[in-house]
Amino acid sequence: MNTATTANGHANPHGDGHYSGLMRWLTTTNHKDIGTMYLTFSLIMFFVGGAMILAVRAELFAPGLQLMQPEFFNQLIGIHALVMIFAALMPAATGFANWMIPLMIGAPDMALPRLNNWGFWLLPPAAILLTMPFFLALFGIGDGALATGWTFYAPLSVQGGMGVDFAILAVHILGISSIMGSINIIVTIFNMRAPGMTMMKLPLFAWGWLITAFLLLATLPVLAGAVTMLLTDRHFGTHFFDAAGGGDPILFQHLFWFFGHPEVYILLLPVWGLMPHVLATFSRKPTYGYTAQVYAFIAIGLLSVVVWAHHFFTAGLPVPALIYFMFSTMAISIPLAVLFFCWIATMWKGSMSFETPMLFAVGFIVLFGIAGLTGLILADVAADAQYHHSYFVVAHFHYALFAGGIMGVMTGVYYWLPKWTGHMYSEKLGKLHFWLTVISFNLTFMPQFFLGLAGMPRRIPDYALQFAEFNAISTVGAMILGFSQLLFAWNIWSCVRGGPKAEARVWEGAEGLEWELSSPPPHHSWETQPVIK
Amino acid sequence: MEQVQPVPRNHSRLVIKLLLLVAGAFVFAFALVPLYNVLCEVTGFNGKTSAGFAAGGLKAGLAQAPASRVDTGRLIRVEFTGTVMPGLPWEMRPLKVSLDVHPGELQQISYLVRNTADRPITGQAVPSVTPGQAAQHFEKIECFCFDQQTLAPGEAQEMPLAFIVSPEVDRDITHITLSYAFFSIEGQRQTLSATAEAR
Amino acid sequence: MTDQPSEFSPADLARRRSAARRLAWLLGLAVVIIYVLGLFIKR
Ligand SMILES: [Cu+2]
Repeated sequence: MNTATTANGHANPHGDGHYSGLMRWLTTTNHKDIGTMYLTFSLIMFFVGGAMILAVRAELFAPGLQLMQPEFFNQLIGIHALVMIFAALMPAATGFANWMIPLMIGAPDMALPRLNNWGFWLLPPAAILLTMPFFLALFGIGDGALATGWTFYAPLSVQGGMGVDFAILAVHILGISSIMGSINIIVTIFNMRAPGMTMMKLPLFAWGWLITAFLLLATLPVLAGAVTMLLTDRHFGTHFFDAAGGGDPILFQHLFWFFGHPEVYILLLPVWGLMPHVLATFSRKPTYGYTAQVYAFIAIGLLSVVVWAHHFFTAGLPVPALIYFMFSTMAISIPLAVLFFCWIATMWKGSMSFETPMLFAVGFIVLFGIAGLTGLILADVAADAQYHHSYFVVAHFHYALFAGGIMGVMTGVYYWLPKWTGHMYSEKLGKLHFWLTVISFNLTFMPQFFLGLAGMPRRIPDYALQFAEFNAISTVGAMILGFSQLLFAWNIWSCVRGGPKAEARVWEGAEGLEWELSSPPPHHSWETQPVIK
Repeated sequence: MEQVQPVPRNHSRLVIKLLLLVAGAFVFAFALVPLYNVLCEVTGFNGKTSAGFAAGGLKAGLAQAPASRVDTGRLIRVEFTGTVMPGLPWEMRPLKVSLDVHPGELQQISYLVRNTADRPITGQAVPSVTPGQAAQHFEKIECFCFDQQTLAPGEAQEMPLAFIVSPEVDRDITHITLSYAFFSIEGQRQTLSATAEAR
Repeated sequence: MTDQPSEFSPADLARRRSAARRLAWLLGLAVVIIYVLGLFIKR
């Protein structure tokens, strides 16, 4: 994967010139190398998490238990979520930040390069910890991975097997890695901008990431605290969540979702930051409403930490709390609507062309809109009493996190891949990948809305007969969705290997410092900083 | 494009501030534990019952419940239930499934609890009141849940409970459910079960 | 803005501009129609 550095004719093809081969990647402090490692890791874990959920969907193809026992099913769904959130989506966003933020703000590298290297190399051990109990169980050690679902709810997680401990430690390590990455990004944005680049000239992608980084710093330690309490409850005789000792299991839900709700915006803000760049490029117009979007990011960031209890409306909260959390949650739709209007207004009267990144961006707007609207339904306390813990919720958050998160990341990958590799990817394969993804995604998740409305609960390996048809459709969709991602991997791989040469300004409508550099950019870029007028 | 040499900057001050934010958030998570308990006790969120009379005992409770406080204009049905948690070989049931009470009226009932094992065991009952809005108006004056209970092998005991539903309870509330979960406290440290007694 | 020749001619871009605008009005119209239809649907 080191084409990026060899192709530019740098004096030493191995970058900093200290090491070659594996040692080069282990020791690199170059933001582009680290970005590449993050993105590669993310892609691998995307397939790991995807394989798990394909097994789940295969089991759900028909009523009854065909392929696996419920215990194993429970392990798959929980680890699928943790892998996709912490090991696929978050590293992809951090990879984008590493690669693009220094290029976009005219900085020679990230502010804290060694921390950057360390932050990445914490990820593989964490991923191994997360998945290892599956393999240990094969050898008769332990009873498999975390089987509580990704939310670790007490008291189930207090009673669970050693998979819970593995997951707790993995979350600790992943959390430390994310905190280090966030500190690095904040310091880079605050201290390393090119002269003349004021905060209100900062590219929106950097703004989105800035808010994400602050949210991570404010909420990940709360998750770390919650799982630490869980660990001491399990092994050291404390009773934070154990009612017998005066604890309270509902407290765990408060702590978990104090992190868990902002986490949604942590995953989405980098994508929201990226969208205006892509939309402006392919509409050949300046971004509409830059200032409005910045304030919308900030407003969503602030609101996101005061709405957490909408995840457990049915846990027996008092009515005043229910009403508060309902209205504060619904209030988030206002700044979010501002973003939607800005995206649409950026396209309005533009000369649009639909290259693969633009297709993904437009698909993102439509599908993420469905996520937002169904979220409003779930935010309604009265409606939520029916939909809570049903497949309606599953469909809703996959519209948010697959169509919003992962398709957003794909938008970024196609948009920046020629910049990273110096080669154009195959537009034909890219478009095929888009259409397969968007059709099979809807085939998978649209039926789940109806399953939820009809009362099918989530997190169960078996179901009543009346749900059979929609589940079969959903499984067929999931299989197409899963396997068409191989096209994505293949397209990236062949683009890294070669292809038509990409210009410095890959897309002729693209604006910004990152497009002033050659494609791929030299191993050391902006060593003299550009001056922004 | 005009270009200049970057100005070297010291990042440590900003890094320290950000680390303080992280440390603050971590401490906040642990601070939420006592905050949450205080909030639940003050508001009755989560069915945590009022401990108002617990300190003074039965007499103090009666003194605070003069007959004039009794609201004979309405009746509230109080339902009783109880669960023995896994790991405790006991059985429990309320002697009456429900009572119709006037708000402000002192009432008493008992639970029958039996140790089915052939060894003495100590347990602790943890109460919960539904709906949560009623919890702060449900005043237990005497309760077996204030103390740990020890039963000899095969022993059965009637464990008493005296309570008042305060007249301040909302008029919308017509039913209140009081539920106990009985836990084994074998092998648990005394200090921790003391926190359970406190409520 | 362009150090690279556009693959689209100015006429091409103008055509795309009007096509995009037409499509936007069409989608807007569809939304209004669905909204108005919704007013008449009784449950
Ligand atoms: Cu939420």
